[in-house]
Amino acid sequence: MICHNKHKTCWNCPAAVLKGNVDFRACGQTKEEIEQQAKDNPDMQVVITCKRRPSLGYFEPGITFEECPEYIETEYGYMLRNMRVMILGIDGYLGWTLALKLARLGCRVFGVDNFLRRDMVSEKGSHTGIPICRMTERLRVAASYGLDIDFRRIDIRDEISKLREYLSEVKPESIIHYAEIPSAPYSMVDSYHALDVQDNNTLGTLGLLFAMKDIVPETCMIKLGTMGEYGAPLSGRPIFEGLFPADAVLEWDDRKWSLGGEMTPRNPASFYHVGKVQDTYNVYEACRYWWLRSYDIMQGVIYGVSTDELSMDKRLRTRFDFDEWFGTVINRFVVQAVLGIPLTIYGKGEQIRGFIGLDDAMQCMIRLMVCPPEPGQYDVVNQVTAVYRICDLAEAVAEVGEEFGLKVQVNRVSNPRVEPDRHPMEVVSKKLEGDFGLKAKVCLYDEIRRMMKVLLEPEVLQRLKDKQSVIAPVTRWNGEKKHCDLLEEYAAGSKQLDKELKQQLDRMDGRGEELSSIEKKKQLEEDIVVSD
Amino acid sequence: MRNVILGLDGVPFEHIQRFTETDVMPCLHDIIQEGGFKRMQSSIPEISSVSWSSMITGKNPGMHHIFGFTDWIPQSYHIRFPSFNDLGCKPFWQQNKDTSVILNVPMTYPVQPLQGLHVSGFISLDLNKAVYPPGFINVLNQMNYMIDVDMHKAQQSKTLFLKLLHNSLQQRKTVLDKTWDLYPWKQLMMVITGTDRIGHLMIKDYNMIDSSLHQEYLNYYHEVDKVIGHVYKKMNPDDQLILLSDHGMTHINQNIWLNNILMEHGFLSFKNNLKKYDQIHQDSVAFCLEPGRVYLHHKDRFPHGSIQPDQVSQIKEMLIELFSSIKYHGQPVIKKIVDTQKVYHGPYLKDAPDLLLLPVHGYSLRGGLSSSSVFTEPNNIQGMHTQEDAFLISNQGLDPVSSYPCIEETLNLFNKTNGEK
Repeated sequence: MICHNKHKTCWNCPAAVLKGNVDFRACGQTKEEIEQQAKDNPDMQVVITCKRRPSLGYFEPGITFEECPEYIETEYGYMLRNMRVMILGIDGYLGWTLALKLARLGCRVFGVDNFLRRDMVSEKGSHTGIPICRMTERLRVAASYGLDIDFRRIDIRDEISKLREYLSEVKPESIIHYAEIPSAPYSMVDSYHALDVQDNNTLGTLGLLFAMKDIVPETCMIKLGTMGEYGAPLSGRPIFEGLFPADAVLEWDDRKWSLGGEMTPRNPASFYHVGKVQDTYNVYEACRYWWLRSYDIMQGVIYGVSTDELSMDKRLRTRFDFDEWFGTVINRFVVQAVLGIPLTIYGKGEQIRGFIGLDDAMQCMIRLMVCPPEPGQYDVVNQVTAVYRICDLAEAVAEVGEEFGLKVQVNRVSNPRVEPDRHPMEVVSKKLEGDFGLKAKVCLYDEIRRMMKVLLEPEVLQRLKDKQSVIAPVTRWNGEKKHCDLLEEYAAGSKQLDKELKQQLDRMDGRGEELSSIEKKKQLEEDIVVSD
Repeated sequence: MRNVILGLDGVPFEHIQRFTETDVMPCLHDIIQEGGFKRMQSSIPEISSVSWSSMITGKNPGMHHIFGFTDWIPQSYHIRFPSFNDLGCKPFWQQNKDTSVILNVPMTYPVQPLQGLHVSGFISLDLNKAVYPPGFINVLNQMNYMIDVDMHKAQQSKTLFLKLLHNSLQQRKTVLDKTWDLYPWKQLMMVITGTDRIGHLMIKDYNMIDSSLHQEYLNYYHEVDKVIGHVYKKMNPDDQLILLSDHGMTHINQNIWLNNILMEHGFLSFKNNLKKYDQIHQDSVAFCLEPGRVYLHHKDRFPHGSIQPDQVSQIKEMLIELFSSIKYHGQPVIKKIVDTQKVYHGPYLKDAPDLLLLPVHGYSLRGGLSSSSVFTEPNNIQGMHTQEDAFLISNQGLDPVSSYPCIEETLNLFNKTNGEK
C-alpha cells in the first residue's frame, strides 16, 4: 500500500508542540519562511517537542509519518495511533456516520452536539425518514460493537466555556466541524431563521477558532463548507479549489497579474451561503494570524444512506431528511419515487451541481484528517466526485425505480430560488485524488438502489408518508410562502438531452467518468432532449 | 559561609589578563589580587552546553550526557536538542540540596523544582518553563526580562545590539538584587551571557583599536566589572566568589564545513541529491554535527549504517589522516583530533561522537549542511570559541584545582568551602 501522506512530517503532525517552542508564530509567516531563515542563518534552529514522544525532548521537526512509531498504516494513509478526534455536530447525518467509521478505525472519538438539527426538523413539522435512536441509545449500541464514543451535549455558540473545558480535557488531535446549520432554504424562511443560521454558524465557528488558538493551536480543523459558496459563474470560468492556482493570470488593459494563491471570488446564493463565505474568511484569517491550520471542505451535494458501519445494526443508522429545508436533492428524489409522487425539479432543471456519495465523503474526511496542513496553512478542497444536471438525476432515479416497480413522474415547478436555471459549470477537484489518494467507490446507481431498499422498508415508508406534505417547496427566495407553480408534467424517460448541453456536460464531467464509469455509461446511454 | 559563582560566558583568559591590568576591570583586578587566577581548559567540544554541564555536575560528557547543542534522535538521522531533562547526573544544587539561587545558567531549561530559585539561561524557549517557583515569573514579566539577547535582531544593528546587551546586563543585576535577600541561599550562581554575545558579534571590532566599537566593547566589560564589584560588596567576608568562563573566544578567519570535506573525499553522500541528514546514503562512512563532532555511520546506531565494530579503528585512522591534511593557504586548520573513547568515560559513552576536532584559532568548524563549499568567509558572526583559554578565579585562592584545570574541576573549589557532600 502506498500511503499518500508518508512523506508528511512533524510540521503536519498535531502531536508536535509549536506553541512555546517555535517562537515566531505571527501574522502571515509560513513554515517556508522560517525554514529559509534557518537556512540563511546556520546558527538558527527550529525546535519543537512532541506530546506523544516526550522522551525526544527538543528536536528539529522533520520526522516523517512513515518513520514515526506513533503512526500506523491504514487504508486511508498513515494515521496517529488511537488518534483523538472531536466531531462537532456528531448527531447529524454526516457526524454520526463519521463517528462510527473513525471509532471502527481505532480512533478515540469525542462528540459534541446540541441536537439542534432534531429540533429544527421538528419545528418545520418533519422528522427523519430513517428512524434514529436517542443519543444515549446510539452510544450504547455502538459500544456493544466495541465502538466507544464519548459525548457531551454542548451548544458551541452559546456554551463556549463548556466547549473550551471539553477541548482542554480531550486535547483533540483533529477537529471535524459539522456543527453548522446546513440549509439554504432554512436561512430564507424569514428573518428569525436567517439570523439563527448566520448566528449559529458564523459566530459559533468564530468562537471555536479562538478556543483552538488558546487550547489546541496545533490541531487541524476540518470544516464543512459548501460548493454553494462559489455560486455558478456565468462566465464559465472553472471553479477552482478555493484559491487560484499558481499559473492563474488576470489580464486587463494590456497588463497581466498573477492570481496564484489568492482567494477565488465567491458568489453565494442564499443567506446560509453568505454565512459560509464569512466563515471561510474567518478561518482563513485565523490561520494567518495564529498559525492555526484548516481544511475547508467545499462539499458537493451529498446523497446516500450506506456505509459498512451504518449497515451493522438498524439502531446505528444515521438520520435521513427529505423535507424541503434539509433534504438534499438526490435523497429527496428517491423519497418522492418510493412514495409514488412526482419528483419536483426547480425551473428548467438544468442546474448543474457537484455531488458526492456518503461513503466517499467519509473517506475524504479521513484522508484529510490523517494528512493535516502545515501550521498557518488554510487549504480548500472541492469535495465532489461527479457533476450532474438536476434533470438527469431525476432520470437516474426513475431508471433505478423501474427495477423496484416504481413509475416515476416529474413535475417541473417554478424555481423558488434566485439562481440561473441554465449555466456552465466546470468544477476543479484534483486535490482529493492527486494529493490525498481518494479512490471514489460510490456508484450513483448502486447507491440509489440501496436507498430505495432502505426507504421501502415498511416502517421507513410509513414515516415518509406521514410527512409527505413537507417535501414540496414553499420557501421562496423572494419571501413569499406558497407552493411553486407547476410548469410541466412528464413521465421520466420521455425526454432527450439537448445535444449542445450534452457535449458540454461530457466535457465538464470528465472527472465523473474517471471516478464512476458505470454512472457515466448510463448517462451516455441516455439521449434525452429537455425542452422548456 | 556561602558560595557565589559568577560565570562570564565566552571570556578568554587573555581578556581578563589585559582588562585587569588596565582600568577596564578594576574590581576584578582587586579580587584577583586577593585570591587566584588561572587559565582553564574548556570542555571538548568547547561549547557552552557541554562546558556548563561539565561545570555544574563536575563530570565529563560521558557521564553528564550532553555532547552539544544538538544530538541524534536514537536510531534516526533526525536532530534533537538536549535539554536540562537530558542531564545524566545531578547539578551541584541537586547534589547537596542546599538552598540555591541559580540565574541564567545555560542548558538548564526547562527548570526543575529545587530549594530556592531557578531562572534558566539560553536556550530557554518559554518563560513559563524557565522559572521555579512559577510565582517569580510575574516579577520577571514586570521588568520585561530577557532570557537572552535576540541575536536575530542584534545582527541587524550593532547599536540595537549594544542597547539590548546593556539592558540585559542591568536586568540580571536587578534580578540578583531582588533575590539576594529573598532566599536564605548557601549557593548562588549567575552567568552573564552577554560576554559571549559581544565576542561573537564584535571581537573583530575590538581587535581594531581605532574603531569606535572597540571602545564600546571595553565599555561593556567595564559595566560587567561594575556588576562583579556590586556583587562582591554584597557578600559576607567569609563567602567565596568564584568567577569563570566556559570557553575562550577568538576571531574567525574562515568557516570550515566538515561535511563538505567528507563529501569531497567520498566518505559521505546523500540520496536523491538532497543534502539533508535524513537523506544520508547507506554507503556513507561518516558525517559531522556542530561544531567538530564526527560520527561514524555505525550499523548498530543508524538505520542505514554499515560500519561494523571491527572496522571502527581503521576508519578512524583514515578520517584522522584526512582531517589532519586539510589546509587553508598551506596552513593546517585542525590542531587536534580527539578519540572520545580515550577522553570520555561513563555510561553515556555509547552516545558520544566518535571523533572531536579542535581547530587552529581562526578556523571555525561547522558541522551543518547548509554550505556548498569547504571554506567560507565569516558572515556577521565574528567570533568563535576556543578550548584552551577559559579562565578561573577565586577570591580564596585556587589550591584545590590543578595548575591547568579542566572546567569540571571547578566544583573542587566549591566543595572546599561547603565540605564534601
